[in-house]
Amino acid sequence: MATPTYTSLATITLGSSAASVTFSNIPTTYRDLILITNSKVTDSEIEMNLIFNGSSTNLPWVRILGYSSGLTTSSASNPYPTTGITGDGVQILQIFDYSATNKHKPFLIRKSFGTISWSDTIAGRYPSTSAITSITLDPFSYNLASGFTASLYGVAG
Amino acid sequence: MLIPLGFLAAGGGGGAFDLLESQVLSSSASSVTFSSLSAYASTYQHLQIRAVWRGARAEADDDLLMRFNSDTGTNYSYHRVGTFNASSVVSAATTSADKMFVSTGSGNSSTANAFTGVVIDILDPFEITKFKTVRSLGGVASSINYLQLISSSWRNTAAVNSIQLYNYSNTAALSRFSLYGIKGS
Repeated sequence: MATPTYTSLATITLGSSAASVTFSNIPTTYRDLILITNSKVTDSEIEMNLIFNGSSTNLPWVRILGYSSGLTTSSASNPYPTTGITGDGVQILQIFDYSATNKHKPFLIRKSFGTISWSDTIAGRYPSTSAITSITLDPFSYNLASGFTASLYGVAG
Repeated sequence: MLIPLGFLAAGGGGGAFDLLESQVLSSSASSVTFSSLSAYASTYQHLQIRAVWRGARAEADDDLLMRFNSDTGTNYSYHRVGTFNASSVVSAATTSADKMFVSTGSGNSSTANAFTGVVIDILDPFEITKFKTVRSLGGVASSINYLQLISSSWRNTAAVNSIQLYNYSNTAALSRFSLYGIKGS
């Protein structure tokens, strides 16, 4: 029997700048999470911390970035696999098996920032067997800008 | 700003994106198959598979492969763009293969507890007037780093009635494969 899925859990839109935004008490009844943001921040282009369960930890990630000057690939392990910009763009973060307690959590990020000519794709991993119950987006030393939006969805599985 | 979800989370909805089936491996398995898919043809236009997988072979990496309707003939084509350990962006293509590649990721010798996430879109699987197109995006960051965007084709106009997913050896326990239907207008 088909199960309706892709449930909207919460949406926020900032009417004024904020240091960070956190989705907390995420229910564990879904299989995957999808977070869609426009990633507007108060500086031109900065790394943004992706924090799970309130504790900043290194997140291994690998990326392919297409930008105005070409194509590049890189990998790292740090708390900021994602980015914010002052212009318009869209970022989709998919977290697989986020509530599982027997595996690490793989995630995929796709970003398109037309104003700076970026197309960015990232695969990463939250290296913990703990269920993810909160997600925080926190730009380095800057703020999320007025007009920042984030929508969190639960996907049954 | 703190957004507590708890009681605010809404359930159900009856939209266009439905979970059809899900398989979680309690032990390693030679393959995962979704069958009798014709039952969904009258309701859904497209299919999506969301998977978290790990190969069971004692290697750092493994490939996730896919076939339709048990077709083992050289009726598949695919093109892959990706990075392997971030050394460079590479691409590869095959026009006559006996299977589709849909993901490359962690084998059983990679970082413990590291699984590969992949989203596989199968467009118009039940149309009998066209070949079948597949798009997948997946990757893993562990002792090996893979990120790939793959386009594939099954050169057959038959409706898809079964989907088989498998690794070179077995697929490890705790791997999960979920099948979704997407309605048309």
